[in-house]
Amino acid sequence: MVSLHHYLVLSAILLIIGIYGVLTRRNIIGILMSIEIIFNATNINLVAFNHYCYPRAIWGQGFAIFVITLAAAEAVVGLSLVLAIYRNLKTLYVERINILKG
Amino acid sequence: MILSIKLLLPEIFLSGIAIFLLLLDTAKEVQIKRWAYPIALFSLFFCFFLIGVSEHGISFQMLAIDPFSSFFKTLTVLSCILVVLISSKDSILMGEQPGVYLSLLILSSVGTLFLSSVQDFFMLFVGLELTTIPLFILSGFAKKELKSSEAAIKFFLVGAFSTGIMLYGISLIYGLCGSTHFSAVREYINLTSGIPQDKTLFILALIFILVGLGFKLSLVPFHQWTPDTYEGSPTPITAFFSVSREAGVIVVMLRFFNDFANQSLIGLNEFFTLLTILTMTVGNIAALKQENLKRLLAYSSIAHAGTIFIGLVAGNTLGREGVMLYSLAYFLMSLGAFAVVIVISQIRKSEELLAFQGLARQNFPLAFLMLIFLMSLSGIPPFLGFWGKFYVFAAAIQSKMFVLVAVGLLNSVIAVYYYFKIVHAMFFKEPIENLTPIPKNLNQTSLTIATGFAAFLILCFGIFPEQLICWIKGSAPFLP
Repeated sequence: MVSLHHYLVLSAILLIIGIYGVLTRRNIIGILMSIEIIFNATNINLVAFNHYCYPRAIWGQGFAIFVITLAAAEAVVGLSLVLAIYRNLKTLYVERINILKG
Repeated sequence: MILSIKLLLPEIFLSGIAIFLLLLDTAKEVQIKRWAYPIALFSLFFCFFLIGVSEHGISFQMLAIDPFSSFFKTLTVLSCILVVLISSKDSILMGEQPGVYLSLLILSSVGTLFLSSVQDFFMLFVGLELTTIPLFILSGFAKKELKSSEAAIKFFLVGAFSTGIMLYGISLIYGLCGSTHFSAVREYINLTSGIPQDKTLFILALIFILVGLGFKLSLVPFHQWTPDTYEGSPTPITAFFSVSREAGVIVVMLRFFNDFANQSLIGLNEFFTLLTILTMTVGNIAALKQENLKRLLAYSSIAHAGTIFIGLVAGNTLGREGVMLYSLAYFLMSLGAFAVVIVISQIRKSEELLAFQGLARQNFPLAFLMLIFLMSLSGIPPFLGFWGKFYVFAAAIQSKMFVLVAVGLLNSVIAVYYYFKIVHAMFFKEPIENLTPIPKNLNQTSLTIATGFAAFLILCFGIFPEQLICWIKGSAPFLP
């Protein structure tokens, strides 16, 4: 029987994978994907809490839908920025993006 | 339902205008595109009226329209108007697609308007996204320039990551409290003083949220992206950044965290105090060795965020008023200082300190205006910045947080050094010869109006603060 704890552990693992990915990936697309994983960890949390703790309400599911929508909006902007930097620099590795510092 | 919609008239009106401006940009003739500027200005001025006449109440159980939110809404719209004015001659922003630029600017302001009245973590999330997503695009608006793209991508990665972290915290709060409304969270705190496991999880969730907000507000361990993004973005956008982002997050912090600053949530208050001290000190010390004015102002904005935070940590009414006063002062002086930087960088194509040398000999009024803004930023008495600092420190003394006051005062002294480095360069050094001289007549009407207006308000409210303080005292209470 799958319980709330299983879902919470899954989402915690996803969160950790996401944070690890953001910190270690060298490619911008990789970082973007890791951020999406963090968003999905949140969604699992919301829906699982909704289902197990507050089965009468639908607020968790509604929230999850908003998270998905806004994550999509953010991804659109992010990918277009990635395109812009690729046109200028011809690379997507973060260690090459280093003109601004100090 | 009707009442709820009526309460949100300013937001709805501005969103409509933003969409209209976006459509206006599809026109073929340049003449029609040029209309975007007057339309945007006029509708922003009209928005003052809408904010003024709107009633107070709770809208859709998520947004509290009260005197407090009206105060910050007025500030946001005012800063948006000033940014539109100072960017009116910018060739990149107002060049080919003025409608896109203006509509993104207005949309971002609408996000801040929502944030100023949040009552629910859901609305907090949506409002923050509405504020930051247009800012991602705006900071990368000069798409041919590598600097701008780099600034945008850095801001984007940090912004999206912090949103993710904050959302995870919110999902935990939902699981614990069964609702994301602030009042549900308050009830939860009052109910559970017993179960220790739940309490740990609750504090963890709050820390997740605080880290997310800390990235947005660039509190110190989370501040590394700020100077880069400030330096790379087009300068009017940098000015907008320093104002709008800060305003939104500070209001949220006031609304949410002020309630339990004094409650016995173990460690949260100490955590805040530590963040405040770190933010002020690191911001000021890093600003000391900056040669680029945009970077210097970026670090100084971090330091100012720290000082504003003192009022929040103090957690009393005086602190809340101090935060409001300080925000208003910071808005005006930071926008003004950036406006002068814009003038210099348009003529000399450089924002380094060297470009400011001998400004007083070539164009005295401009140097004098910059002097007013810098004196106000460093908190010297006859100007508005002083009153902000005074209130914030007074609040901390009232709550007996003497360490915080001592560190704050020391930091003010450090700040004077780097602000006066600019004054020294402007007034006591020879202009560099191979740079284009600044003409006596600048030929920039709207920019002059904006800068002059900001300086006038700083001086006027600095010398006669009674009216302003009355207004703030009237706006400080808010709906539960």
